[in-house]
Amino acid sequence: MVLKLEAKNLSFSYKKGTPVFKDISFTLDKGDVFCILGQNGAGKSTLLSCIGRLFDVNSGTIRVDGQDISLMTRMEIAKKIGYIPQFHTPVFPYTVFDFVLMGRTPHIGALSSPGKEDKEIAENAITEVGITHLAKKPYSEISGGEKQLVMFAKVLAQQPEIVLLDEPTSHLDFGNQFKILSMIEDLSNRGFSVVMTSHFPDHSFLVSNKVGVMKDHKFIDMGAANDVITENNMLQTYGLDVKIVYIEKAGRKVCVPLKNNGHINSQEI
Amino acid sequence: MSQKQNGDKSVWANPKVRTALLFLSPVIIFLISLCVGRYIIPIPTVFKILSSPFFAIEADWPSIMETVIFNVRLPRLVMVSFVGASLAISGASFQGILKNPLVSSDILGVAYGAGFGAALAILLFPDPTMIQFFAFGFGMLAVGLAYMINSFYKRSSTLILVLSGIIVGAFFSSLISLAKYTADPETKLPEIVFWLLGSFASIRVEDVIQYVPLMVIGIIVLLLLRWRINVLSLDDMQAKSLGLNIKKYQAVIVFFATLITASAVCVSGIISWVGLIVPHIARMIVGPNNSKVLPASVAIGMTYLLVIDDIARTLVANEIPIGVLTGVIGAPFFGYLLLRQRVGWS
Amino acid sequence: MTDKKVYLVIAIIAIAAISVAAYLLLTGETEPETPNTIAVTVTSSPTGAGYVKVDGTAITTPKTFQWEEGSTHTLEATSTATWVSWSDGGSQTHEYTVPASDATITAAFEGQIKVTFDQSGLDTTADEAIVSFTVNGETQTKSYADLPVSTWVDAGTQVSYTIEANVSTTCPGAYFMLTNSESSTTITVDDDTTVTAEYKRTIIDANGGIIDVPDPSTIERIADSWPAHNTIVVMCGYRDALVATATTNTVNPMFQKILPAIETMLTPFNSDGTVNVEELMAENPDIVFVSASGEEAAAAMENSGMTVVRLQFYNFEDMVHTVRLTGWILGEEAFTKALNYVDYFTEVQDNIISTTADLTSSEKIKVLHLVGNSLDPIRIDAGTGLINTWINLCGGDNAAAEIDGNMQTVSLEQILAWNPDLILIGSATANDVRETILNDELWSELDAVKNGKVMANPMGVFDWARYSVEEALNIQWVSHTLYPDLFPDTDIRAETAYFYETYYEYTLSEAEITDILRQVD
Repeated sequence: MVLKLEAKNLSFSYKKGTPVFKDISFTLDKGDVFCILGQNGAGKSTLLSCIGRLFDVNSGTIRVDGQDISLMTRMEIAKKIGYIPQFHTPVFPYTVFDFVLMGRTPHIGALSSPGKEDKEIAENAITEVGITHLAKKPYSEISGGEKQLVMFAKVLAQQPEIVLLDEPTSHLDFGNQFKILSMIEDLSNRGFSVVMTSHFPDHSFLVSNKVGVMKDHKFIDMGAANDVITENNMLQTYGLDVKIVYIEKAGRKVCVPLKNNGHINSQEI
Repeated sequence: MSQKQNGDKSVWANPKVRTALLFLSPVIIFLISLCVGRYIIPIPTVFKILSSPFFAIEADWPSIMETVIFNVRLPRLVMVSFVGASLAISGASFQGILKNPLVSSDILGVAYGAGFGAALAILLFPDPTMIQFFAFGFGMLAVGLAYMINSFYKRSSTLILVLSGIIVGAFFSSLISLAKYTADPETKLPEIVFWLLGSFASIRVEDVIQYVPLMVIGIIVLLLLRWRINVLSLDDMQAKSLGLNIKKYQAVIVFFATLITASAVCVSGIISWVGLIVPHIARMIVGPNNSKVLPASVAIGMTYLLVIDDIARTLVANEIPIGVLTGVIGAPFFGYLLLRQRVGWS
Repeated sequence: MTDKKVYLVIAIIAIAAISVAAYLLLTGETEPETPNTIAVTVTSSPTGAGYVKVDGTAITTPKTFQWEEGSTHTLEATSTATWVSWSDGGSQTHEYTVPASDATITAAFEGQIKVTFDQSGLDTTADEAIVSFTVNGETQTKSYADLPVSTWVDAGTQVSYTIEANVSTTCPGAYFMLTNSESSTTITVDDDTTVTAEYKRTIIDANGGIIDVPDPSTIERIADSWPAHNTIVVMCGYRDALVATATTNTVNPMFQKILPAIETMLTPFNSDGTVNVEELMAENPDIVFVSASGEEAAAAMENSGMTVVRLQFYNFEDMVHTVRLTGWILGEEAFTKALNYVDYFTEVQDNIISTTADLTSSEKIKVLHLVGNSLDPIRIDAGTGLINTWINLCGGDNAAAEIDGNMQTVSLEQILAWNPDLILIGSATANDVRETILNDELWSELDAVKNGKVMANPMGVFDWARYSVEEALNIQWVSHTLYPDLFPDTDIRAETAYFYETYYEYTLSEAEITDILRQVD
């Protein structure tokens, strides 16, 4: 069977600089949620961009449904891979609806405008994400959590098969973080393959069935969350003593930093 | 924008009425403009003359009136309309693709390039027909140069493109000063100054035939790309992830926006402000979506410049340079609108 | 009988006398008598001018005359000093008979002191009393022609005098200004005293500024940034003094003919209204003429220590004023030339005014004057300014009277609305513009074009339409062009030749006249 996404020996460096990442390989099936953990600047976001071919890798291949994306046009890629960046507010205050509608771009010809069908798809995406009440509001005037939801709606309207999420839960309050995580779970249930980066090892227990830990430009471990999020890996990655315990009531493992052991590396919040 | 003003129950609040008025206004203003001018022609006569090529109407007016309507006013008003439309739509397009609401149709140096071309032609040739060719050529050349400078940077961004445009603009602006400095103060200098201030006083049918088709092509292409400009106004990563080849689109839009701006500038001189404020006025009326902003800009650009030109040609017997009026009237008007409504960008 | 003896004696004596007389007469003829020349020295105490008049003529004593013995002369001791006596004992004014031998005759005055009033810096244009002085209650007032003048007073006498601080001239706007520290004072004289009123030359320029101008004898180098004004300098006879000029003049073919040096002359005046001061300073001009609108350059030149004269005119009254003032600045000879020109211009002008005075408004021809460099934009000369002045003076109506100012931009529609009877075109390229208009469909609707009344305004050393001394020719050409029937005697070719000969000292060829008039056939 052909894998949904297959990355093989990916390497990337900016001009003359040290490599951002080297020899990265992984595979993804339909419905997989792959969470990439790692320190700031470890190259997580760049790796994500390369998967969507927003940047070209220096070596290695990425295949989607067995097809090398370096041979695909940008439009073809956009039909397969959706990308949700860390949020960014456009200069012009497009309404939420107009913004979601832009997700239709890969399906609309260069000299055309979105048709009735496109608008229906966008409306459905908005309804599915549960933000119908925001549709007419300017994107610039809604909260961070709402913006992230709008991005989800936009990706739904884009109708790709793979969704790339760049730190989807950062900058969000506690409640919104979990709203987003459940959105991701929902994406997975609908058959989307998801690649996300995160700062919260804990989140990978919640949504991902696959975790890669990045350190020194490469994965030091990769596999199921339960296998990879270990106290040893966390110490290696973040230089931080953590305790990983199973909580009966939650029905899952949690990852808790220990307070009095060395000083806490101030990761971003 | 977030909350609908509930108290506002005027007809104007109805978006359909608004849209209808918006697109009817250039037509109405055009017809009114045909009736006014320094040569007094009774309004019924104006319409009789206008319909005379189509219906058998006995000519009870002097032939000079026909000349005024068909050879003086009509070409001028057509040119004014299309220059207004061109400057406005190219301004809106540039604002979109450069993700900057403060840029205008001449951000990449087209106006100063054209200005220098015109000054050079005035200095070198006694024949005024060369002025337009030089203005057009140098306008396109200036933007080409800005694009070239931009391409020297490996990681070119819209900001570098804007900066390149400013560099090229400053360069040609200095060359204009140099041309003015060397010009004969009694003969050539007033001509250069007048050209730079902008005017439609000497528009002929030939100018319309030569440049309006170029403007129409450019305007149509930009209108077709109007929705794409929405996507291009997002950050580059998003636009790319939505499948757009940014550089290709940018190049196409810059080319056509420059084509129409250069056509406008080369027949009418430098007309400031239209390319900057008309897109903003459009956004105030139809919202930020470029699908609506671009056509609205065309309509408002036509209306606005027709009104300004009516003032320029009828207020007093001498022609007031239109470039002066667009600023003098446009700036306070825009300030007033800013006070009343949100601007349509943040 | 005694009576007969008496008669006899008388007769004998008479005969004897006649015989002696006859003898004397005869001997006198053979030996003619040589007149005896005597040296008579007339002097005075004290000596000097103004004390004595001999035969009505004032002399400076001592003076020696060669007079014939026995001849008589009138000696007059002046009454301005207190006369005491003549050495021959005669009265103050008396007849003096020349003695047989050399003599000296002396008028003695009581120990008096001479007070002299004089001036420097004035010339014949000074047209008012210069000095008035009061001695012993008696006041005298003297003007330029009277000076120097002397008076005699006793030692210790108080003399009060007033010198005119501000002497007006026969040239309006030109003055002599006193530089002495005191213009009105009382002095006590103990020795011979001379009071000299020292004047500098001053004009009031077009901006109302009071400008000191150099003495004409020191003006050898002239810079002139106002193109039209250069022609006035030439007319005043100072063309060879020009060292810096405006670009417009250097390229004018006729200017090059009357002054070949103009072609390569320094043009330090920039089109943006500034001036290359260092370049100009190297030419060291004694005076700089500028038009009043060129203030930026004028200020820069003044800061560099140059004498800058701002002049301007927009009508003929001011033109005449400018011509006179320029002449006056350049000295008496130039001023005379300027006055001659003004007389000529005034006569021409008055004749035209009186001839066109009776035109009714329906007879008046509607004239539009195009600037003419190009038709893109169309620029016209409107209802103020010199061109408007001469259109009206020549009996025309300015079609563009409703607008103010020269070189205004208008649309073709406006021109169609005005529909002038005659279009005059200025500038060097006037004939090209004329061709364009005559062949343009849009212009063809105008009456002027239909009737072929589109003409190039002549251009000589300067555009006739604008500002130069050739206005005198222009108004003759225009009035004749407008109303040939009213001016049947105008021969503009002959008049042009006469004008150039008289005011530019240049003899025009027939071809040159044709060029100036831009006659095309």
